[in-house]
Amino acid sequence: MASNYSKKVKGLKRGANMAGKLHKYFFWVLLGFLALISGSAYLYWKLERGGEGSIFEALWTVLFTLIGQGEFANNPHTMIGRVIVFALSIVGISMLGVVLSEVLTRVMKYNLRNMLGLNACRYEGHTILCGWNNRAELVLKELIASRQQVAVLVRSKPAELSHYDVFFVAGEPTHEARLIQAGIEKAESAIVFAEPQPGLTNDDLDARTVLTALAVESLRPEIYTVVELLNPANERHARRACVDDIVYCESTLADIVAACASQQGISSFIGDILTYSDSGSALRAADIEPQWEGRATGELFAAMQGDGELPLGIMTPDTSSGTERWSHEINPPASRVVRLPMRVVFISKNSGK
Amino acid sequence: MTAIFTDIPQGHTLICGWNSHALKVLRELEASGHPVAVVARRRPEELENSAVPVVEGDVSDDETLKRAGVETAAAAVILAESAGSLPADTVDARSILTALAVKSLHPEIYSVLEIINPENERHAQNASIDNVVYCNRLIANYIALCASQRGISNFANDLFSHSDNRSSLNTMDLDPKWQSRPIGEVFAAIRAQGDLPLGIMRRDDNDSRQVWRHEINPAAGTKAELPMKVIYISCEKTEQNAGKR
Repeated sequence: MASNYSKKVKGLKRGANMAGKLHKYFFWVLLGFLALISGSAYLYWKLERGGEGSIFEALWTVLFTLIGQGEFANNPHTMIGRVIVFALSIVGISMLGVVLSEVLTRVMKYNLRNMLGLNACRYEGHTILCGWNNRAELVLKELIASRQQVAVLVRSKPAELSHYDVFFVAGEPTHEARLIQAGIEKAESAIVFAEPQPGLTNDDLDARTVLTALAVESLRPEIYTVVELLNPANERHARRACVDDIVYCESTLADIVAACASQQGISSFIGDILTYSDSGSALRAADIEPQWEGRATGELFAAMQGDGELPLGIMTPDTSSGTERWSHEINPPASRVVRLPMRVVFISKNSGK
Repeated sequence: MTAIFTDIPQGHTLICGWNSHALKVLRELEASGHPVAVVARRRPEELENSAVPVVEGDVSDDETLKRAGVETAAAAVILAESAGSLPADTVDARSILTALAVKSLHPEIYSVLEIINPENERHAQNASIDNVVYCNRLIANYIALCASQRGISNFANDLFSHSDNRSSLNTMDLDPKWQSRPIGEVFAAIRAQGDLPLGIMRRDDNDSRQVWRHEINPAAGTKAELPMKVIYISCEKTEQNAGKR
């Protein structure tokens, strides 16, 4: 009984060693297989068919010979032809099996790692969501609607994530290795959510948020970072971490609720201009193209109106702060001259997705 | 006993319930020129030394609401009051009960309800609430806007806030003199005053609630048909924001 068990274990170990070696030398096995197929095709075309027909037809015949089908497999005319059929039937089919099983294993392993959030993100210009809360899914929906690629870095995979085409990375958002895995070096922007945890106060949560933002900014200072803070008193910490944009949920919500009460009926308009995932319109900002340099904003606005867009104002970089901040001017005089870099804020129709 | 001596203004906006952003709502309403009264279980700490009228009591109780002048109020904001760790549906249920009480006492009042779970909207509709605000969706949309449109957050904050004394989003009822005239003319008049017109709103006659449908950047030739509102950005805070033009 014990000897049977030890035999099985030894067998398994040998199998694992073989699989490891195969994995290591897969490239050479693949190369050998391709050399066998192409060499056989060439020899068949040259010797068996005397150079008649195309080499692709010869390749096709050789592939069928591999599985024992076709005239050449049953009746080779030359000695070399017989050797080729023998080699393809014994060595070729074994190598094909090895290659196919290895490819399948690799695909399965990749998918499994993807599911567990262990792969490295290869997106470029994407947005990274750090952490997760009950608003995150709605943010994700909006980002996807505005045609952004998204990577989500969170401790454990939220169930709702499986409904979206996003890249998932499992891990602590404050860890630099995990941020690199989420493709921070090529990301365009990062959103750090206030992630609720039992027993933690708003200040504790803000501290964790700022730590994550600090890790993000230290790895890639050019990234545009948006953080969600719960206590406005913590803004100074976020600013020291060179965060570009801070959202105070409570304050924004209060502004909008008050606007809904004081400007009766305006809520549908506000909801519309804040939403990309509907068929309505949304608020947007875009860089002004170099062709407009030195020309009047009135001209630019007229051109935009001609395209069915509604220009609202302009933004110019605020050079007084170390972070990427913009000063804005709503409804500027038509004679204001465009001096790049400058952005225009406008309302335009959504694509309807 | 505070309520007996409370001087409630008429045509005011009633804030029912108190939560972490209620003070900001109050400040914004005051900044947009709307007198405010608050109904809350207890006088909020933030309003200890404030002149804002506060009526203490159960916010869904008819008597408390009457003391707060619900019958003469122009609008009511019912806030999601999360006492302790109540589930979102329970908080929403309480808010809807309060809204129901407000609407039954003053059916013409313009009611704004803050709910946490969007699935509870059907209950709010049954209670004939004019305006339902989903907290999480609004914030989520705003965060996505900030991340996808670099640098726009200051612009958006400026737009939505009245208390910063800068530009703000406003609506106004269109004066009868504009009846049947092209919207292009209305917009030109607004632009001449230094404001920026964005769109129009029409009353939805098929809905018993005060529901308005908006149209952004309408064609200049569209004829004005009252009742109609114009949405515009006023470039600085003025007293005429809430008035007729």
